[in-house]
Amino acid sequence: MIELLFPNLRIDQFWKATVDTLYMTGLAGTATFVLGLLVGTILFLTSPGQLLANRVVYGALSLATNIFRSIPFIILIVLLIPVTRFLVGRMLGVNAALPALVVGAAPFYARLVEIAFREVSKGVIEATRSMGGGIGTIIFKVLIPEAGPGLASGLTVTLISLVGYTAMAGVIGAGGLGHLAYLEGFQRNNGDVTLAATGMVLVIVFAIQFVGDLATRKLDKR
Amino acid sequence: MTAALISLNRATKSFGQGDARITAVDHVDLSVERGQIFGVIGHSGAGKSTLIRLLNGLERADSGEISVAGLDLSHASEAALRKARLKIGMIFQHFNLLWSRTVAQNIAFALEIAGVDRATTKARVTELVGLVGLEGREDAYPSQLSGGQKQRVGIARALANHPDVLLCDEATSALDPETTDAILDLLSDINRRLGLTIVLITHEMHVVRRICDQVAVMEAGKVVETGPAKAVFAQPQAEVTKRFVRQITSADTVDGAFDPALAGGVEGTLIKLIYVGPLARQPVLADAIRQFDLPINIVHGRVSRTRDAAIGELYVEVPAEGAALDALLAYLAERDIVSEIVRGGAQS
Repeated sequence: MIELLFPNLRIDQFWKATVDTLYMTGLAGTATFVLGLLVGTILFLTSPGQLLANRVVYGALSLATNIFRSIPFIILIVLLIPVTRFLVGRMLGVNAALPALVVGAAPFYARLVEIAFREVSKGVIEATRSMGGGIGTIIFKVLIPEAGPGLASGLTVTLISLVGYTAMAGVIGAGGLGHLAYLEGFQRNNGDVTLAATGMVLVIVFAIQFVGDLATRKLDKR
Repeated sequence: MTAALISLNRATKSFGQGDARITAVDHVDLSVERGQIFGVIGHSGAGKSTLIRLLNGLERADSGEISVAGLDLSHASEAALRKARLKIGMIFQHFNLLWSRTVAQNIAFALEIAGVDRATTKARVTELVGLVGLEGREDAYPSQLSGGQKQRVGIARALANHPDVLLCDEATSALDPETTDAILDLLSDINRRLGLTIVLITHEMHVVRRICDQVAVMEAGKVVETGPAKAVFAQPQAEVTKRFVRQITSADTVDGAFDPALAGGVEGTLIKLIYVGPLARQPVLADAIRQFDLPINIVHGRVSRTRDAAIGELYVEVPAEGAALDALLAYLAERDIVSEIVRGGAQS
């Protein structure tokens, strides 16, 4: 059946590509979550009128996130080649894509984190301070839990664009479904392979969206 | 003379710079004694929100001294302030609960901050839930509660660490009149049972009338009048206080305030008498009738209650003018009755 619909598709290759895409998305996603949460928290706390308001830190960090968010991903990969060589040691394979993926996605997520934290009522932060809560209590027991739905839906959007980024990274040698669609599909004129890879990307994106929506709804007690 | 639990000495706080500079609290002196319910009333923008935040260091004063429960807040370090806040509870107009936590978890939050262990927390939460009357709602989320219930959670949370003082920031302003009264009764009850000192700010005279012992009236950052609630009620001095007193008088119109214009048939002099407290139970008028041999005719009268006193308001018609009228008014003044001539009656 599969052979009939996709005569040129090699199943082992296809699975390997799928696993590679999931690997890149998963690992880069985890790093993006941690880094984005960190940067987003600093952005929020140092923004004007907040607890650690600091014009210099906020300005610098804000500029940096805006710059990295604005560079088209395909250019970012090229620009980061020296960094990747230093970190990963080579420019081929799934791990080589990771630095660029994180640098591309983390600033985007950081902004979404900042926005989610802005939605947390100032009154609740004030109440926490009135109970003797310090900055740690405010971050871990107020901001993150209270912004839970926003953090989850932001992560969903970020993961979906990460899937897109892995496909682009694949074209320049990182492996995964993008690589398969371009090299095995487009360049060898095997339309069925391209189609199969596209189908799998859609399945992954829909699955992320579904789980993300579920988590957002579960966290939302408002 | 007992030492005050809270004292402010020329406390000043301003915001903004240059021309936009606003002095929210302007050289305020106040003292609150242990066990009192102290009300600060003022219109929005009078500086009362800033004032109450000076009492737990959420705002730091620019100058002046503030001491709460023996700690000098004006010179305390941030760490010392955080520790002090465990003993200064605060409740808010918009409740400020964590919506991601249940009722029990919201109350436990204050104990988590204080580093209380799990078993003690559990027992204390159960106790507090009972104190504020939320039994059976422990596992509800704030979004499933009414405004009054949310404020009860706020109160329980504020009381969790056995505070010396409870600060109430417009705690009933977002509630309907019936819920307001229920919350005020709860606060009054807690004040009596636990001997807890309460400082509340409000723009509603009703709140002050119902539960406050002492009241301070604020306008444009300054305290313009302060004293026992019943005295401030009976004889308001400042213009803003008079307006607040009128606010409750007019709010009571529904249950029968007197409109002098309706007393069309009244001849002689129409006088409004105001008396406070135990006097309401003395036959001053009857004595006056006998002593001056005047047929004093009562046109309208009513008594309203404050926390610990009754305030009487009486409109009487007296067929007297000149010297006779003066003598009557002097007689009443001697007995602490405030009188005001509403119509007619030339004094000599």
